Amino acid sequence: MILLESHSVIIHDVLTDRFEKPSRADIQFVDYDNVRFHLSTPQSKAQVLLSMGIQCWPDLVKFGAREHLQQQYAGLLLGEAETEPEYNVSLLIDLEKLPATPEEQTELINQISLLKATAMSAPFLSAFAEQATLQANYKEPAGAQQMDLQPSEHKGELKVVRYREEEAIYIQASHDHVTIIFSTVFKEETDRVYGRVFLQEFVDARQLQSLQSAPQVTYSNREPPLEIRHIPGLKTGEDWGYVTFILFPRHFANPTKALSTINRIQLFRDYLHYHIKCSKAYMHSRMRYRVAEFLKILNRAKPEVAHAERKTASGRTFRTR
Amino acid sequence: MPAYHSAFNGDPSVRQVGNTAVLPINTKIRGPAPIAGDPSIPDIIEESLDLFRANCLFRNFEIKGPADRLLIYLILFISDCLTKLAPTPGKPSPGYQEATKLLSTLAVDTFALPGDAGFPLNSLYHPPASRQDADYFRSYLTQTRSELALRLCDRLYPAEQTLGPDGQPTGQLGPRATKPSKWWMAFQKRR
Amino acid sequence: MSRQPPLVIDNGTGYTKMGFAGNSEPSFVFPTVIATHQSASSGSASAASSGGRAPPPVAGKPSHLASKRGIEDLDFFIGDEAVANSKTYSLHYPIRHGQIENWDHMERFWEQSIFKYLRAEPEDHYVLLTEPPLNPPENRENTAEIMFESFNVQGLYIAVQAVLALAASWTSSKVAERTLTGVVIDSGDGVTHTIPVAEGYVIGSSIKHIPIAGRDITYFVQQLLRDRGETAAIPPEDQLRVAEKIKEDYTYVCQDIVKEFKKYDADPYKYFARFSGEHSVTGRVSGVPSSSTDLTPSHLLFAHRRAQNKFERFLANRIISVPQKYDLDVGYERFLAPEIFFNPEIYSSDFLTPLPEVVDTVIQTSPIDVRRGLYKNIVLSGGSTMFKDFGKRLQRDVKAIVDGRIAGSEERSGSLMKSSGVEVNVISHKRQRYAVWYGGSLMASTPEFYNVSHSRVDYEEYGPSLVRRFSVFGSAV
Repeated sequence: MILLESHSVIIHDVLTDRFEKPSRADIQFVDYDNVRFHLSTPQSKAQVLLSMGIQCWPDLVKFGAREHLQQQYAGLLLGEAETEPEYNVSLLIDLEKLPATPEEQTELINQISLLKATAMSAPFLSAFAEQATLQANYKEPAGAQQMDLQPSEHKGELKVVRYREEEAIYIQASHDHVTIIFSTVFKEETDRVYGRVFLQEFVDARQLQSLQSAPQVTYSNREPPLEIRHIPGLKTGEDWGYVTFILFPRHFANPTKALSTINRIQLFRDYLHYHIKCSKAYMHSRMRYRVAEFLKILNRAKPEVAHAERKTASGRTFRTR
Repeated sequence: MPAYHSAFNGDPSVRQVGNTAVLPINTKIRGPAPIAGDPSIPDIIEESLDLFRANCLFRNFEIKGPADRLLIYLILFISDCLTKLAPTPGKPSPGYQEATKLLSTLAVDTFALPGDAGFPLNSLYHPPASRQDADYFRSYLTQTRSELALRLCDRLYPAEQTLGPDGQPTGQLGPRATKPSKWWMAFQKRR
Repeated sequence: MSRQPPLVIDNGTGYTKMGFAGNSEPSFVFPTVIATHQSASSGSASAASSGGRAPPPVAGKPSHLASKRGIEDLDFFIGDEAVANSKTYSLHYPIRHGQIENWDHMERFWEQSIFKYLRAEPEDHYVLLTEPPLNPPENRENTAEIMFESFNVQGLYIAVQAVLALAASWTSSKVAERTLTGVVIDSGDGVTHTIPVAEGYVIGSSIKHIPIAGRDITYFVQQLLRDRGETAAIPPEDQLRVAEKIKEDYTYVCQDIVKEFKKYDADPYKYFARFSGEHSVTGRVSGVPSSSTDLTPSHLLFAHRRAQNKFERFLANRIISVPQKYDLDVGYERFLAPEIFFNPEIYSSDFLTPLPEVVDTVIQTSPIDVRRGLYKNIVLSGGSTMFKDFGKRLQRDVKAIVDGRIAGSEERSGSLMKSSGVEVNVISHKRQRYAVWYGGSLMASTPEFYNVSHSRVDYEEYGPSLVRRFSVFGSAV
């Protein structure tokens, strides 16, 4: 498993189960980045209520997450007033009004299990849209004399999504690309080293012929990149890393492509941390292997115990037990 | 609580041949067996038919008294009967009539008594004390075996309940099944 | 920010149960199995199992690019997916006899359990793991090392399975006081343990294992079916599954075999059930009991196993041809199957002690001052204790043994001493199947959990030896 999947396996499994046979449920679970889910059947077995709480909901709302969800989950999404307390979004699925064919049902399940991904995709989508308008309004600079134009004129608003306690995603649209910057923190020193090596590789990998069309990636440790340097309160400690992706219009040319780009990129941080852990696990297995090998060598090096027969004065032998 | 024992173990008044009890039975077949006083009380034959399926699951049996020995003997005989009736390649299980005949023959066939060579459990059974005893015991066993064979056939070929038009059993008894009940035959391979 | 719920992971020999604290059942239950891709260079599977560990795939010369580097260490599946991919991958069972044998595989198993299934960032969570009784401290240390150093978990608590099972029994209405003293009968697929626990501490010297568990019952059902010639209709590859299905859907514990036989004779239509299945290769495996009998829901005790459901769905989605149906009668195995716990003789020739006797021995070998408490609280856990009336029968049989002994000693004392009697209680409850996990979920959702578990700060201070210290949970409750 190299890439993390975007859908929640629990939602998928539970709903598949309940679609076949409604039964009571009251399950609380989580997803990455402090997302909490609560799946319950408050009124009757046939009414499944799925609520989601996202830490960065205020940020998401700013970028039209609610409208986006409304569009994706028409008929399921509950209004703000009816949303379960302590959660941000609630979907109500009526098991008695399911689509008829199994294909449609599977489709619905898949869609619902992408709830978090859908909510998180709102700022990206709005950035893509912004890029499109900027591009339309953009006039090719006529000559060198116009170069002194304010560059910010061609830039969209900087969107900040504080998806974790201390970490955030910065999204900025420009006339020919969208910049996405992740800030991430490594709580432990080992992680930091791994992270640095891993991200360096990530940057290097792009030089490979077959990956030329991949988004451009840069990584900086400690120093936030120029685009966001003006933001106050950025952390610049040793543990901080900033990863910048530059998406060109070809990465979100059509909706499907845009969606898969978004799904990949919003899991980037988890992807990174997952791989750091995997690398550690890999290192550990190498270490264990080494230890086993060394032990073998040590065992071989043990001197044979001399087995001299000892006799008593009368000539009887001892038996060592 | 392994295995089930005969309820007649505790009865001291029963005559014994060797160390096996000679218990009264209910029967119409002529022979020397004492006739049980009350036909409504299950005799040793009924008991062995009841306990057969449970006991033949067990591998060990601790003999607790003379009646147990008779019980084991009869259970082994049931097992023999089932083997006799089991379908073999090319020959299906016999029907009720034929089975009754077959088993009656088996019952009166010559068989080994305790002490004779060929008796399966000689270490556990004492041979009869005298020639007279042996003769008496043989005819007693023959009689018991015949009665057992009859009753076994009744159980093996249960009358099928006639189903009403709604598919529910009506409680009336229809013709007897043509094949021995598989619920019994399953136990033939045991022990 | 509200605290994220702790992860509760119960890795058993057969199945792994995992989920989030506070829920009443685990979110995932799948086989503890990992399917890895064994390339030719990385040694054979047999080498790994025979003690010498196969070397992990060596990365190619890091000349310059990632493409050259192996990603073999990420190419694996766990759980049901592993089973589904068993054709192209080789399966490994990292846990044997309850204890982790292969740490490489286990580490990767956890990797995927947490990231792919639970979708949790372990850095944000506390984790509750379980261990079998008598787990060597080295194993705990290894576990802690992996959890803290690979996964950077916030905190860790390693609980003994039996203790959690006791805690789970608190949900039963029969339990008046919440004690951590009792005997746990934990019967899963492979083996049954009877574990006495006093005040949260396992009495290691008295633990008894019974080599009879779920799998044996399935085999026994299969054997009975075969004896009766029912198996002729079932395709050979399905036999074991059909037997399992019958075991789960139809069986119950009777109070007396002979009486039960008579009941069946007297009213066959009430008791004999019909099982119909379909050929698994061509069609859906159907476990729908279509019997002419009045099967009440209570006979259908066993909830369909989740994994199996999934498998059925998988098959249902790809019906290719007209399924071949087959029917068979389900008879005496309905009560004979679980009977092998009470009369092992009828199944095995090596192990002959009935379960009630084992329980009694276990209690009798425990310290005398806790015996009363142990008799009072016999707790069932695990799927193979789910048979209907299992608890009732066990209680009756244990009681009979105890009463017999009391009567005997009263007589020997010349009727001078009178015993006040010993209370025997077998507790069964509705969370029994995943009792260990449920107990874990229960404990991890109390605020006290955060005090007793080992936190990351402690780990950094003391190192892995930290987990050798064992703090009993809930003893103050």
